[in-house]
Amino acid sequence: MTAPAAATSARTPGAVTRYWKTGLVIGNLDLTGITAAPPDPAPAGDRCLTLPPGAVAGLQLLEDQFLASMNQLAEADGTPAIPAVGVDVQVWRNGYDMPAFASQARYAGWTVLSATAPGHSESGCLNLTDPRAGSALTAMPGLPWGRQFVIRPVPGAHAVVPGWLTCSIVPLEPGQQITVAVAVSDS
Amino acid sequence: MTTATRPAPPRPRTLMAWGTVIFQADFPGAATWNEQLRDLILDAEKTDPEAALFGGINAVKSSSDLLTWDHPAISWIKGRIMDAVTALTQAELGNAASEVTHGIQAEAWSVVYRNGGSLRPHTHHDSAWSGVYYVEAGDPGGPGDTSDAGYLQLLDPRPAAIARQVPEGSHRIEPVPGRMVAFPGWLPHSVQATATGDSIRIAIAWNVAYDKTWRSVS
Repeated sequence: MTAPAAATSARTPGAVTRYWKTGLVIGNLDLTGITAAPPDPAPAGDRCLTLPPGAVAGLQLLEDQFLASMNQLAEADGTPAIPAVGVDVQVWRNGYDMPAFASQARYAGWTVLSATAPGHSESGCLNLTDPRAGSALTAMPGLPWGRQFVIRPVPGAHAVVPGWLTCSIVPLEPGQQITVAVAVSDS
Repeated sequence: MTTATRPAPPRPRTLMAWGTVIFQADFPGAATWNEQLRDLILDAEKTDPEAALFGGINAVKSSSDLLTWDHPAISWIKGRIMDAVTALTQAELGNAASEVTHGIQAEAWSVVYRNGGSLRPHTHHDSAWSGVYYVEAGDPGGPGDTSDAGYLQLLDPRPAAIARQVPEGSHRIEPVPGRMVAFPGWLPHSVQATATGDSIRIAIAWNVAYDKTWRSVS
């Protein structure tokens, strides 16, 4: 069969509706008042190091922002508000990666506090995976299905997603370091 | 002295991502075509060597060459399938949909459901788009039947979300003669049991795929 070259004509009845959308909160935060220790020029040890709470100034500001974003998403989802959020600050380095993971919490989030510039634009990125099973396996011109949301590790990058969403972290390059606040909702 | 103020970054945006497109239409003037399609399908059922009870219950599927039958009603249903595919492609690709005009491969088959016939959840994983057109809906059922006899159930394709009991889970569509429903081939779907009794429900199901010679569409 050959499709008509034109788009759907005005006479064509029917409608296309989108179902089962997945809510995400994506943004770029102002980090004024929030500072983390500068990158270690010669990192050694753990690929993922959790910093003590006192290592980051403005931790309360971060918690407030995560809580606001999670409740923004809860409102979009039509679900009860999130009462509280827990935040860890981590340093990713020495080739750290996470092939696939999810959270048991209702919502999870990340804010990049500092980052060295990688040689490759995708190193250290946070990928949010299309959650629709099988969608990535179907040949369709334009490849509209199975695409990932890619969050680049630049200071201020901020994302909040449903905890059930499969995510991954692209391996960091040698020498690359990212300090990131990692949040989970308290419900 | 003036104080320079830096504009505040925009508030983080809420994006509703990865929605699954579903087309639904009730074609005007379908009744006349449906009478002809009904006769064609029931006649073919008597002689079709490939007609078979397949994965469903009390459901007979014809061979998949329905679109090659030489009849005006088949030409009409081809046009309606293309209406659905065009609408869906435009919804997914926007203006780039106008570039997707070649290499489209379509197949269709009839399914005749009888006394309690149903079909368990499945996908059409080799096709980009799949759909169903209702030729005849059958009776709504008697006291022993549920109110959703013969309904199409489109299932949330996000297993992780289902595991957390986030969504309602399914979108149900009543079978109405003249109604077309179309969706991505990877979307799981099932058919509720047809009502018990002597009435039958007739549907035309179809797949559309693209050959691998399509050019990149950005």
